[in-house]
Amino acid sequence: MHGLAFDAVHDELIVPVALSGAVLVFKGDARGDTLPIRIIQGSQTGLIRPQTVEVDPVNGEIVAADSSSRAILVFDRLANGDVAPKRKIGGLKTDFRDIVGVAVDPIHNVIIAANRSAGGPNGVYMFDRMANGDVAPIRHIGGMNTGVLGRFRQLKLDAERGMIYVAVQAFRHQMATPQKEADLYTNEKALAELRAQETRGDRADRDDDPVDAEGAGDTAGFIGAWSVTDDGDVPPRMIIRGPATRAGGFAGVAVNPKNGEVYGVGTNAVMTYLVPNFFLKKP
Amino acid sequence: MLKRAIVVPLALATLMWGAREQSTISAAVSLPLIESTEPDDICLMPPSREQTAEYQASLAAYTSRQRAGAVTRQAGEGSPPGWPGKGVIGGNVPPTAAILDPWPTFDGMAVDGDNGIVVMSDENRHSLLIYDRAAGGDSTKTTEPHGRVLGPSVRLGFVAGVAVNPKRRELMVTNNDGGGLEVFSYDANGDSKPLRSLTVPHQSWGLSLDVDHDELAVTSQQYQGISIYGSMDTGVVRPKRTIRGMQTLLEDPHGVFLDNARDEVFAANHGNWTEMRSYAGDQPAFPGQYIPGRFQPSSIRVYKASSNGDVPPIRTIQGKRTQLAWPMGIAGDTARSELLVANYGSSSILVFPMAANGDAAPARVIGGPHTGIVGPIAVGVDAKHNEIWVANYGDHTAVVFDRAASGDATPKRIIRNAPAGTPTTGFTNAASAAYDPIRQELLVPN
Repeated sequence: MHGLAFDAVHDELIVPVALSGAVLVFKGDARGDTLPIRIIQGSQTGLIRPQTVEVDPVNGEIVAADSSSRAILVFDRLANGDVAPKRKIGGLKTDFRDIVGVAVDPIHNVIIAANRSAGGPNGVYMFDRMANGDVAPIRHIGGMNTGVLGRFRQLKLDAERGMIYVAVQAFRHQMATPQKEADLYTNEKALAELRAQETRGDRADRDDDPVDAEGAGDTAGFIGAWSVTDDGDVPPRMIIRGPATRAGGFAGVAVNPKNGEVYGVGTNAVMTYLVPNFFLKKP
Repeated sequence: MLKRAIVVPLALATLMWGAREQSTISAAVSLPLIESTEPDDICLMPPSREQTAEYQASLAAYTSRQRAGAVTRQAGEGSPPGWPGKGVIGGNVPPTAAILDPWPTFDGMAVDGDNGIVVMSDENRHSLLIYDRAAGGDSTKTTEPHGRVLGPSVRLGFVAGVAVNPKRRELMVTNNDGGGLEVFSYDANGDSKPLRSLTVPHQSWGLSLDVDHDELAVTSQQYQGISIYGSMDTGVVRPKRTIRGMQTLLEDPHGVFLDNARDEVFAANHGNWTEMRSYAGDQPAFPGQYIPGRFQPSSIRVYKASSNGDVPPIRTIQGKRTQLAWPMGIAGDTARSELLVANYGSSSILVFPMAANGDAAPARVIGGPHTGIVGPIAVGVDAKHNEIWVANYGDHTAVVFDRAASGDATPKRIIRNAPAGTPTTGFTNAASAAYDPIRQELLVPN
C-alpha cells in the first residue's frame, strides 16, 4: 500500500488498495482480520489503481488519487459499493501522470497532489477543492529549486497552518523506467529503450541507483514543507535533511502538530523528529 | 508524544534501540553500502575475519569503478551548495525515536539438498543469506550463515523469490520493487557482482527453476502473469511463454512451482485483481470503458506448463475448506506428489495432493504453537534429507521439520537471523504513514 489516511473526527481508517481498484474504510481501532465497514469499488467508481487517499472530515469527502486513471476522484465520505465519484479532476490540462500523494485543505479549499513522471510534469499541484473535469492547476510548486524533481511520494497537510509536507526520496529526477512503463513485452518503444540502456551499460530499472555524474550535488532526500500559497520554483520553507536525520530519503510523512512531531517513513524505518518550531505560527 | 506505532495490518512496531546485542562492524564499512539508519555501532550480523577482508576489497573495487565513471547520470542532479538557503527552518535534525529492524528479514527461500545449502533472501537489509542445510539447532543465538551477499554491487533491493540450480551451483533472486532478477554463484559472499541479470516485469515475486528442462518460471503481481524463461536467459529478452490474460484468473500471483515433467505450473494467488495500465506517456490516459477491480478468495491455480497466452487454469484449489489465506511461497514435492503452501494468513503449512481441485481440504497441515511457524513466507523441500524448511517473515527464524510432519509438530532445528526474542517491525518497503491523534498512534502500511 502506498497510502493511508486517518479520519480523527469520525475515528476511521481509509486504505487505498491499488492491486484491487478499491478504497476500504475501517473503524479507527480495527485490528487483525476484520472486515472493512465500507468498500468503494466497481465500474462506476472510476478506480483502477488508487495509490493514495485523503479524507476531508469537514466537508465529508474522501479523495483518491489514481495513477492509472490519471485523475483525482472525490467521493462522499460515506460512499459504499459501486458509486460514482462526486467530482473527478482529470484530463490533459491537469498534467496528471503518476499521482503518488494527495491532500485536502478544507480551510483554504484546495486539493493538493504530488504528481510525477520521468521527463515530464513533476511537483506539487494545487486545484480548487470544488474543481471538476479537465482543469488546470491553480498553483504548481516545481522546478530545480524545489528539490521535488521526480523522486517523491506522500504529502501531508497541516491545515491549521496551511503547510504542505512532502516526502522526498532523493533530490534528483526520476529516471525513465521502461520496465514499469511498459506493458512489458508489448510496448515496443519501451522495450527498445530498455535494450538501449542495457547496451549503454546504464541500467535505469532501479531509479534509486547511486548518482555518479560529475558535478552532481547532494542527492539526499528530505522532508520539505511549503505553504499552500506558494507557487513556482521555490525552495521549502522548512526542511528535515542531513546525515543526522539517519535517513537517506523519505517516502512517507505524517505530522502531529499538537506534540510538535514530524514522522518520516524511509525504506525500512520510521523516524520521529521533534520540531515544535515547525508549528509555532502561520508563515 | 507518540505513544506507540502500529503497522497495518499485521504487527505492532516497537522502538528498537538499545536492547540488542551489538556487533563490531564499524559504520565506516557498512554505511557506504547500505542505506543505514543506525547509530555508529551497527547492529548487523558479525562477519567472519575472512568476510571482512573480502568486504574491504570489494568496497575498494566499487569505489574505483565509481571514480572511473562507470555510470553516467543526468548532470545537475542534487542540490546546489547552500540550498535551500538561509532562513529555512529546520535542517539536519536527529530523530528522537527510530522504528527499524537492524536484523535480516527472511523472504524467499530455496533448498539444495544435493549441495547441502539453503538460500534465503532478506528484504529488510537487501541481502542474501546462505546457510548449510544442517544449520540451526536449539540455540537462542544467531545462526551463522556461511555466506552473505550484501553491498552496492549486488543489485539487491526489496528482494523476494529465490531459486537454486544444483547442477550449475547458481542461485537466482528477484527484486520485487525496482530492479530485475540477479544470478550469483553459490560461492558468492560480500559485495559480489551478479554473474548475470534478467529483466523481469515490475513486482516479480515467485521463482521456480526446472533444472531438468532448463526453464525458469516467474510470477509478477501487478503484471498478473507467469513468465517462463530459459534458465540462462539474460538481459532484455522476451519470455519463451507467458500465461496472462482475463481467462487465466491470475489474481496477484505470488508463489510458483514449475513441473515440466507433468506439464504443470502452479501459482498461489492472493485474490487482488485490477487492470494493468501502461504508465507510458505515449499511451492514452483515458481509454474508455474498463473492467473494475475485484477481491477474490485466495487460490492455487494450475496451468499446463507448455501453454502460452490467455489460457484458463486446468485446476483451481479455492474455497473455505482449503484454509488458503494469503498463500505465499509454494513448493512441489514430486516424489510424494504433494504441493506445500506457506499459508501466511493462518501461520501454517498446508499440504495438498498435487492433483487437488476445487474446495479441497489439505491432506495435512503443519501448524500450531509448538511449530514456531509465524507468518510463513517460503517453504522448501529437501528430498535428499527428508526435511521441510519454512522461512518466517513474522519473526527472525526459519524452522525445519521432518518431511512427513503434521499437526502441531516441534521443529527439528531453528535457524535464527537474530537472537531469540528479537521482534520484527512487521513492515518492509513502507511508503506512507498516518497519525491517529485519538490513540496517539502512528499507522504504517506494509
